[in-house]
Amino acid sequence: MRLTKLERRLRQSGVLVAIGLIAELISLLWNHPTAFFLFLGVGAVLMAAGVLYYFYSLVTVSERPSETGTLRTQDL
Amino acid sequence: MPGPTTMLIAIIVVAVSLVAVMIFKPSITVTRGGKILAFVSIFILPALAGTMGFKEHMEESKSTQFCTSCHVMQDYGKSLLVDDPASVPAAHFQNNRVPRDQACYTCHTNYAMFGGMKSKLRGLKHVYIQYFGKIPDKIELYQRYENRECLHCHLGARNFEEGVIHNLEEGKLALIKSGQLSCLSSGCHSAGHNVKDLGGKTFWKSSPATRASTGSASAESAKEGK
Repeated sequence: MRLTKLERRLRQSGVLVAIGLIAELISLLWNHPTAFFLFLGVGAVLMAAGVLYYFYSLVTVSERPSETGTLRTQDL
Repeated sequence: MPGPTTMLIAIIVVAVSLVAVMIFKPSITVTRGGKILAFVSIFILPALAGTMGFKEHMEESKSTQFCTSCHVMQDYGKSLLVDDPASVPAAHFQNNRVPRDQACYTCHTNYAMFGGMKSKLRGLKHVYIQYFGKIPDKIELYQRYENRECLHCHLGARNFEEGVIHNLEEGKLALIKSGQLSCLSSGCHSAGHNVKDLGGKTFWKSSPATRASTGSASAESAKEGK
């Protein structure tokens, strides 16, 4: 299935956010100073990057609704 | 009712599941519902999880077990179990003058504006040094231990205000309260964490949970106390 530019970027930001969330989950199950580092240095950074990339994509990628709609109809 | 950690874990699991939907089927964002789902899963839930996670980690980092989980701090944890009433940290810990589960944080946080936040920032520096720097041979406080940290609890207490030694000379109590006469360096309450002499000491035979919180991993590590 062919993805639009916005969908590709959504997927990429989703991957960043998901890895960040998993890092946070691991850090919560571990009571050690390194866990705090993991949370801030990996989890929070990746989540913030994913969210910012998502917003950046929303405001920079412009797709005509009709074009997207046509694509979806073809997919179906 | 589930605790905050359980709630947070549940939020993270839901967020990851929804993000996974976005990753594997991004085409659902064509619809209005899909766009809302993307906004919730990629922004709202991660922001909520991040905020709650930060709060959770801040709370967790106040625990005695957290502080003594680093090898370099384990002897300081053990010094809380020394069978010596003259040891200020040990007497405070063993007699519940400080909450045992937050013993380090209670005494080593500056009770000033942003004191707790500064402590956490220093903690991050400690973790960095632990892995990438050189741990100094002698662990020292960043600054002089202020009376303010003692008076946060003791000010107004009867045994402090009416203590014979504190009122032995006129004006002595005022000097202590103003910080001009140090509780510790004046020589009155100077017995701090004496980690170098732990080898020859006896230890309080506390509960396994208390020993674990101080980093004294097993009963065998502490000598038999009275």
